[in-house]
This record gives sequence, C-alpha cells and structure tokens, in this order.
Amino acid sequence: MRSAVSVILSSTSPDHNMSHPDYSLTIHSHTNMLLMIKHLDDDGDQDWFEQVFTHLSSVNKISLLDSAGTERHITARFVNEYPVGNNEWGDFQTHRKLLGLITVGQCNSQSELNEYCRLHETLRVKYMSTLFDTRCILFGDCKDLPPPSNFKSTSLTFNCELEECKQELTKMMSEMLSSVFWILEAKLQEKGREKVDKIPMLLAPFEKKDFVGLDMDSRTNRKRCVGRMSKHLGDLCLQAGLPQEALTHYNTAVDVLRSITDWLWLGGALEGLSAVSILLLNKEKPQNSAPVQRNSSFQEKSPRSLRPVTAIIERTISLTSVANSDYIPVAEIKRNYRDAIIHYSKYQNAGFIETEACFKAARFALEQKCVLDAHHYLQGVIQINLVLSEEEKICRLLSLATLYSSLGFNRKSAFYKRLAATRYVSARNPMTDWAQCYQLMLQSLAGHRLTLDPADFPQDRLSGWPSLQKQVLHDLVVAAKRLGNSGLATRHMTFLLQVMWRHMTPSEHVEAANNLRHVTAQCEGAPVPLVLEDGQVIPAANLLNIPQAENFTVQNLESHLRPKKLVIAKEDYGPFLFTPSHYGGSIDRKLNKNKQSKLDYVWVCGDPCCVTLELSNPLPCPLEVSNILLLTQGVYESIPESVVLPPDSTGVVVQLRGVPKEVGDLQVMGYSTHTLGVKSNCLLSQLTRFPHPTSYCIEVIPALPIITVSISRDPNLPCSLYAGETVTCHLRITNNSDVPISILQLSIDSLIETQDLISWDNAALEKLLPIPERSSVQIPLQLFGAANFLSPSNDSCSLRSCFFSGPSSLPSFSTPQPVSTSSVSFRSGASSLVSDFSQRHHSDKSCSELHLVVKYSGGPSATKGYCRLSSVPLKIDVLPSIMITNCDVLPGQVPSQFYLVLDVVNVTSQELELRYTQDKSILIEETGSCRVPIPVARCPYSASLLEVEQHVLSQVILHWSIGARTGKATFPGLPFNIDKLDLVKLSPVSWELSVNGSPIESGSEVSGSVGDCLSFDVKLRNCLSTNLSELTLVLSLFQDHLNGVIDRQMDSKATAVGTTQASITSVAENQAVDHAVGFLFFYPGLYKLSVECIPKSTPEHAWKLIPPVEIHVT
Amino acid sequence: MAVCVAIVNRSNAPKYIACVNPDMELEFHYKVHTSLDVIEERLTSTGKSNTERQEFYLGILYSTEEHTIYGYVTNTRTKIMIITDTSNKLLRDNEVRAMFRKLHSAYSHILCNPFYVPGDDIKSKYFEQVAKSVMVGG
Repeated sequence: MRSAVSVILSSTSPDHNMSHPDYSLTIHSHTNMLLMIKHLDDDGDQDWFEQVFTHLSSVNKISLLDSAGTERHITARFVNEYPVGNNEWGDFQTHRKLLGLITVGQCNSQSELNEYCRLHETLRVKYMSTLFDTRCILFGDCKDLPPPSNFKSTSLTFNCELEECKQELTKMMSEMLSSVFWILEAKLQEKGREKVDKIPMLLAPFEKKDFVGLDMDSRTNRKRCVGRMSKHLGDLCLQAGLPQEALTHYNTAVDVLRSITDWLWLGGALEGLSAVSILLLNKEKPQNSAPVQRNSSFQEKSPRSLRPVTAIIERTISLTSVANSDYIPVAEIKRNYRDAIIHYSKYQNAGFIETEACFKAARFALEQKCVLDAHHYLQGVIQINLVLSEEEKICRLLSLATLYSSLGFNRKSAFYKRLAATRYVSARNPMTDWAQCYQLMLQSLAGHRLTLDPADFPQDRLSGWPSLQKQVLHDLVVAAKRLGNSGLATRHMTFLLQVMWRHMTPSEHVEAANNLRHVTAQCEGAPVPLVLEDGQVIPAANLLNIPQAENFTVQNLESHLRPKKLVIAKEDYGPFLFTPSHYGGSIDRKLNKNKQSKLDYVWVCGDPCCVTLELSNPLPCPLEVSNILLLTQGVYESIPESVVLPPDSTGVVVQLRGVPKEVGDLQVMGYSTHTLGVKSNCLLSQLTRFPHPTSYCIEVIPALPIITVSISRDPNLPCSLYAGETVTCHLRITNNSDVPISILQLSIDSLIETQDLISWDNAALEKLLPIPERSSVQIPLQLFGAANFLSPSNDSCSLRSCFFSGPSSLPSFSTPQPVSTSSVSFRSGASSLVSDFSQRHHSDKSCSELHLVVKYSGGPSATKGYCRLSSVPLKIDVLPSIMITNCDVLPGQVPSQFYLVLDVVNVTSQELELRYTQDKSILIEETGSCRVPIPVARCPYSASLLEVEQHVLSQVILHWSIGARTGKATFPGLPFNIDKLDLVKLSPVSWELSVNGSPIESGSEVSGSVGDCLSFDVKLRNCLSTNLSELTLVLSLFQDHLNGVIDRQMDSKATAVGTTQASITSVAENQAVDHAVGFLFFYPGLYKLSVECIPKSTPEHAWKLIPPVEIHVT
Repeated sequence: MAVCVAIVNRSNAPKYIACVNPDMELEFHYKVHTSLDVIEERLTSTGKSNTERQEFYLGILYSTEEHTIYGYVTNTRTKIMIITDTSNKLLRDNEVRAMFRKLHSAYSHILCNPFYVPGDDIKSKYFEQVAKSVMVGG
C-alpha cells in the first residue's frame, strides 16, 4: 500500500477528473471507510509527514456498540491523495467515498495558519459531496493564533513534537472514526427507512447522461432504483460492520438487478456479495483472516513455498467449513466474482472498476491458494482499455508483475517487468527514465532463468530459454549504455558473449563482438565485480570465447635445462610384467582428475619457463589479443604476449613465458587476455573445449647451476683415429650461473657399445669440485680408436673355416719356419686375396657418434636430489689400421707354447710397422699383408673355452706404428675351434723318453745306424690331480718328406721289436707308466717317431709328444 | 490453423519452436515462455494426487484478444504448445486435441531415431513437415 501511495505522491499533477485504479485494493477494502490524511505543505518535510501518516493510519480499527447494543467492528483505509474521479464512483461502491479528511501541517505564524486553513477549506469543498467529518491538525506554536473567521472545521493544535502527542492523536483518531461511523450509521438508517416509491435513482458517473429524459417511473426503472438501492445498502452495511445485513441486501440486489439486466450494477452487487461472503468466511476461520493492514505485506510472502504441502489440505478445510455453514462456498464466490468481472467488462467506462475487481479477485484466489483462478482473473487485466498516463501504465504492469511473482509465476512476472521497463523509455513516454528501466530489466532476469554470475551457467546443459535470454541481455546492455554507465554496458555485453555464445549464430557473434568493441571504446572492461550505486554487485564476466582456447599445456623446461633426479628410484612395476589394468594407478588418476593434476616435472626458480596456449579466432575479422598473461597462484613473473589472430583461424600457438620467483608449488589457474577492450581472466575451470584439470600444479625447485660444455681438441691431432690409436682431448666445463657446482658426473649416452672409445679419470674429476660460479674447468679425455680387427668382409663362419681348416694349408706337424722370412714368400701367394681385400676396406672408416653426458648439480636443489644434464656430441672416426684375415693355431716349438698364426693385412695407405712379440717386428707395405706367428703360452688343461679365449686375448697384442702414430690391436671374439684345443691347452701327460737307456731331451735328435736296434723307453707321467684310466699308448714311425707328404708305410723300412701299442688301465696321479719298444731300421734316412696316448673314452683327443722324436739313421 | 507450435523439454527449455510468420517469432517465444508458468502450476496442483496422469491435454492456458495458447504435457513432462488465432472461432476443441496427438506421435517418432540425442534441439525434416501441416491446417 505504501508503495502505491508513494507512487501517487510522486505524480506531479494527477488529473483530478479521471478515475484511477488503485491496484493495492483487496476484498477487504469493501468494508473500509475511506479517509484522507493530507499534508498541507506539499514542499514540507516529507519524512515528518510519513511519520505522522504512519501513526495516524495505525488507528484503523475500532469496535463500538451500536444503539441496539451489538458490537460493531469498523475498519478504515487511509490515503493521502484521492482523485475526485474516483470519489464520484462513491454511489456505485460506497467504499470509494471519501468520508473523512484530516489535514496535517506545521504552523508557526498567523500567515501560515491562514494559508493552511484556506487549503483545508479548499480540500473540504473539493470532496464536499461525500465528506462526513474533517480535522485539521497543526503542529507548532499556533495555539493562540486565531483561525480565520470563515474556517468552520475542527482544528487541533499541538505545540510539541510528534512523539509527545501520539496518545492524544490516537484518541483523536478514534473519536474521528467513531464520529464518521455514527454519521454513516445515521445515513444507513435514513436510507433504510425510505419509501419504495421515493427511492432515488443511483447512478454511476458515466450513466448520468444516459438517463436524461427517460421515464423514471417505468416499471423497469423502479426496479432498477430498488435494486441499486439494495446494493447501496449492502455496501453501507458492510462498511458499518453489519455483514449479515449486507448479505441479505446484496442477495436482493442480485435478484432484482439480474431480472432487469442492469449489468454494471449487477456486477457491483455480485462483487459486494463476494466481498461479504469472503468476510464471513474469514470470520469463520479466524486463523485465515488477514488483517486489512497486512495485505500489502502479504504479497511479499512467497505462497509457493508452503503451497504444495498445504494446498490440498487447506482447500478441503475451507470447503468443509463452508459446507457446514450457510455461507456461500468458495467456488461460488469465485464464480460470482467471475460474473461480476464479465458484467463490468461490458462497460468501457467501468474499466477501472473491472481492473480493480480483477486484482481483488486474484488476491482472494491467492489467499485461497487457487493460483490458476488467480491467473484466470489476471489474464484479462492487461486488455482492459483504460485511459492512463504512461506512468500509470507502468504502475499497472508492475502491480501485475508483483502479483504474478507472488503467485509463483516468475516468467509472467518477468515479462511484465520487462514490459514496464520498456514503457519507461518508450517514445510515448515524455520522461524517459533509463535508470528505472535498467533496474526493472535487472529484476526481470530471474524470471528468464538468468543471473549475472557466469558461474551459474553450466556449459554442458541447456537452462532456460536461450533466444529470450539473448534478447533480455541485449536489452540490458542497451539500457546500461543509455544510462551512461559504459562500464556496466561492457560488463553485460561481455557476459552476454560468455554465457550465450553457444546459442548465437556466427553472424550474431560478429554483431555482438562489434557491439562490444563499440561499448569498450568508452570504458574498458576488467575482471573485477562492479558495485552499483544501490549496492548491487555485478560479478565479473570474461571473454572465454573470443579468442577460444583450443589447448593449454604447461611445458617442461628445455631438455638441457630440465632438472633430473640424481638417483632414480627403481620403479615398482608390481608382480606382473604386463597388466592392462592399473590397480593403484587408476584411483590416483581419478583423484587427480577431480582435484588438480600435479605435474610430474618441475620448474626451476629463476629460470624462464613456458606454457603453450592454442587460440582460435571464431570471428571473420582479424582479432588482436594483447597482454596474454599466465594466471598463477604463487609468485610468478609472467611476460605479456600479444598476438593478432587471422580471421577464422584455429590453433594459433602462443607461448606464454615467465619466470617463477618462489620455491614451492605453483598453481597454474589459467590465462588472462585483453581483447576487444576487455580484460578477461580465463580460468581453466571455465574452459570446456578440451579436456584438462581445473588447475595445474607444478613444483618449483630452488635454482640450479647452468653450465656450458665444450670439447677442445688439439688442432695438431688428426680428426680421425686409426683403429687401436689413442688420443687425448679436453672437456671444458663453464659454470654460467651464480650457483656453485658441487656434483659432477660424466657418462656416455650412445646406441652403440662405446666403453672402449672414451675414458676419463673420475678421481681427477672429483678434485675439481666444487666449481665456483662463473668459472670453468678442464678435464682430459682419452679417445681410443676401438675397432674390430677381424676381417669384416668374411662373416664369422667363413672366418672360422679359414682359421681352422685343418692341415691343408700348413702342415701341422711341420716345424714352424721363422715366419719373418716365410712371410715374403707367403705374401706373393696370397697377394691377390689381400689386394682385393684392402681395396674394399681401405676407406671404410667406422664412425661413432656419441654424447658425453655431464650430470651436475649444486646449491639447495642438490640436497633435494635434483641435477641437470648437459650433453656434448662427440664424433669419433676410426679408420681401419690392420686386419686379420686368417688365423691358425700351430704347435709350438716347446711343449709349453703354441703358435697363433695370423694373416695381418695393412689396410692403411701408409707403410706400417707391426711389432708382434717383445722383440720381433715387421714392416708391412701399404695394403700389404703378412703372416705372423705369435708364440703363446698354452693354458692349463682344465681351462674352459672362455678361459682359453681370455688367455689368448691377454697374450696376443699387436702393436703397430705408422710414422709417429702408434696403436695396438687386440682380438676379442677370435674364434677357436674345439679341434685345436689340444694344441692350445697344456697336455695332461708328460713324456720322458730314453734311448738305449740314455734319456733324450725334447726336440733333440737321436741317431742310430742301419741294423741297430734302438730301444726306446717311454715313460708316461700323469700331470693331473686325478687318475687317468683306459689309455692306449701308440708309438709309430713315419717319414716327413717336408713337402706335405707324410709316409707312414714303414713296414719295408723298419720294424718294431715289441709292441708299438700298449694298453694302460690306469695311471695314478703324478705316477708314471713305462713302455719299452725297440726299432730296427733297414735303410738309412730321417725318420720320425710319434708318441701319442689315446684315451679310450675320447679317442679324438690324442695327447702327443711334441715335437716328434727325430731319428737320424745312418 | 495454428500459428505457432512449440516443444519444450522437462526443464522448460525450448526444443523446437516454429511459427507461420517468422517476424513474430520473438513474440511467440515470449508467449510460450510465459505460458510455462501456467503449465507448471497445473502440473504441481494436479500431479501430486495422481502421479499417473491420464489426460495429456491441458486445454487453454492463456488467451488474449489475438492468440489462444493450448497446452499438452506428455508423461515425460515434455510440453507441447499450440498457439492459434483467437479470431478463429471455427476451431473446435477436438481439432486442437487432434493436432496435439499428431505432434506427440511425431515427437515420439523423432525420439525413436537412434541418431537423435535426447535433449538436443529437434532438427528433423519429418517433424518440420508435421509442424507445418499442423500450422497450415492439414
């Protein structure tokens, strides 16, 4: 009610001759007596008047006893402005009659008093036709001043503050009310006593000219008079606190008026009937009756919250209670009301009556929780044609909106609020008020399921009505712009673009972007909440879609700056080599997804790092995005980036660089941009175009040193090495940082086997530490030309066949010739092979590329276990120097040795000197080859094949020199044939021979003559620590023609005396077995005696006496 | 016959709206939107007592001098609304019911399409055709 009053107050010059609907009326207004409290000084203290009005209007109810002794409850309604036009409807509905006038003023002088009295009189005259009583209340020092002579009204003066005279005022008001009541009562009595034929015709204001010249005495008109009077009496009874009588009168009136089809008055009677019925209904249920004064506050309560639970119950209660009484049931009241409204609607001039009736009916229906009925009453209101000023139209719309929102019809409420907002600024409105328009627009947002907080908008699902929301937001932007608040307009435009992007067409995108650019030309947008003058906070909005982020990756540091763990903990893969299900891991991952992802790499405090952002421009025009910064929690210095995105481009990569300044966890929340004049904070949690956590968490570790590594080679040194050559170069390490290096480790990273290629002294390295800041050190490195010296042309299989191809090439039993001499002859034979070989491999250098990795650390991060790796590439070219094309094993000159015979090819283009034993060397021409025998000590019999190989390797080292360059060659992987093992290994038995009783040395010559019997005594000694058993001792004579032919047919040349074979069952450890045999030679010559012992278990391993005994027979 | 046809999903967001005169689309949007209040009210007041509503047709939701809005709610609370010209007095209630039934069966037809994701806006030639036929008065 207050709001309505203030609206009326604010109207500057209401048209007094028009009737204006009061939207705050309720059904209960029918029972009220209408009084006006008027401030005499319109320009005076409004607050003070408000207080006075509040106090005076609080006295709105009195109870008194009438002449018959029954108690009457009288209620009053107060206004402070009342259009005369409305007063004129007083005959139609008596509660529209202004019955009392109270004027209030502050008066201190005679002239003021005179003026106020004049005003009071003017008002009294204005409402003369209906006024019953008046009062003029004056505050201030005017008690003794005489009122003007023509002032007839009752005046009261209070020379004190309002607080002190409140009681007196209350008393005065009660008196005033009862005085008005008694006059009313008197009128009622008077009207009731009137004769039927004397009843005057009551007329609504617009009817006056309709009845001019009509026969008032016709039967219909008589009835009309009676019916109207009955209705009038009903009104008066209702006001005078006699509802039962009113009910009777109204019923009569309805019957009479219906019969003569006096629709307007029938409507009035029906409305009155409804009013009285409701009054009686409420009296029946006192808990439900709302006091008149609280009606205005009733609207503010939300009936929706309690309705679903209580609606049905309440309705049944009201229905049953009505059924038990004789009063009209609710359903009929509603029907009556509906009829009344329909009857009113037949008269264009009764529009304001109809409007008010609709509001009253709707309020009643709301009270009865019949929302749909309320809606039904209200839906016609807007179509009632009333001559109203724009301001009143707005008032009507707002009243509708308020009522609808109390019905719970938020959409309708929002619709009317918007309509009201547009009325404020419509072309027809002479006083456009954009501030009001903006406020109403804001209020209408809720009904369209809009808030101004982007966080309330889920990106994935539809909420509300997009096409309307777009329109509403757009209107809001316009209102804010016209309001002159560009900041607000920018904010709303940004919000529109953020929230409604999905629902906009590309052309709308462009239009909105252009609008935004236009708006921000006046005021830039910033991501901070705006606070309006009335304290309303508009949350920040961000341009998430211009430009759109397609990807966001927190980058690891550059590989050479990337901190590594000094000690890599062995990962626990669990008991399974492979399993598709991640038991522990999956839960971790889920947790990470929900919360935030902690990255498994780290950034270093003070070192520049980078985040890559992929941006897309959805607009068909170039888009300048400036000041792109990283949003972090933690101290981080971000370097602003700017980029101009081409039209309709996607995936433009922007590198956001910065430097972390604080050790600890750094939260990367998103990025900020400045585009189209709006600064936006785009948080990861708001981006939806790609999967990502809500924030990234990366650990920042304390500063680590940075080094540069270089290898300095002596310029005199050749750039490529010959196989087997060793050179020294220097590794230079420079500490470029301000952190001393305390840990330094070298390692090699290469795909190939590189152990031999490079070596350094770790102890020397340790001594260099710590390396202070901004200084450098040098470490010597040894490079070695490691290569395979075995012939690469033949595969190992063919090489093997060459090696141990048996005695075809070399007579195994021949006495090895001094190889240095034979090499010449040999070379001629093999030259074709060798030349072919050398041609093929002369320029065949092997090239090893490897990385020398320096692991270093220092400062606080070293204690945390972090280090950095720096690697320097190293290329080692190895030229072949010598090659082994063939090898063979020959028995040695002494039993403890054997000869390893190697065919060595010089594959260089220079003459090469090969030193193959301590004191023997040979020159090999370029691309020449030679065969060298290398005496090698035999290895023990018990040695395994592997041990044999190692034994040979350790003994066979070839040293070569080309000019000043030297090198050595070793032969890992030299294949050994099992067959020749007997040569390589020491024999398990030793032989002692004596001829004719005199012992002979190994390798010495025995001489005899033809016909003499040479008696050989062979003593076989077991050198092993175990017994030998089942042996066969065989002695055989043969002749070696030294040309590869061995003649074993000795039958005609010599004969044996005794057996040449002996079977030995067992020889104990370190024991010897004797066997004697004599030989008789028929012809002189050179004979040889081979002595061998064949174990029966492995007959292929025969242990021979080396060399065979030579017998010179003369 | 009808001047506008609208399908609104259970969370009161539009799924389909078509009208005879495209210039008036926004106006119809507002009309359909505000009529949702009435439907909501109907559903809360009647839906409580008997959860299995037999009657889909809600009748007139709102009527102005120009347009009359009829409502229809399926069991899944998808709302179908038809706006007709109030001046068209020839239109009988049965005809409106028939229009609703037609739209409802077309809607179910759409839902049966395995390529239609429930909740998406309706973009179907078939449905368009049905809606057009309802509006033209076929």
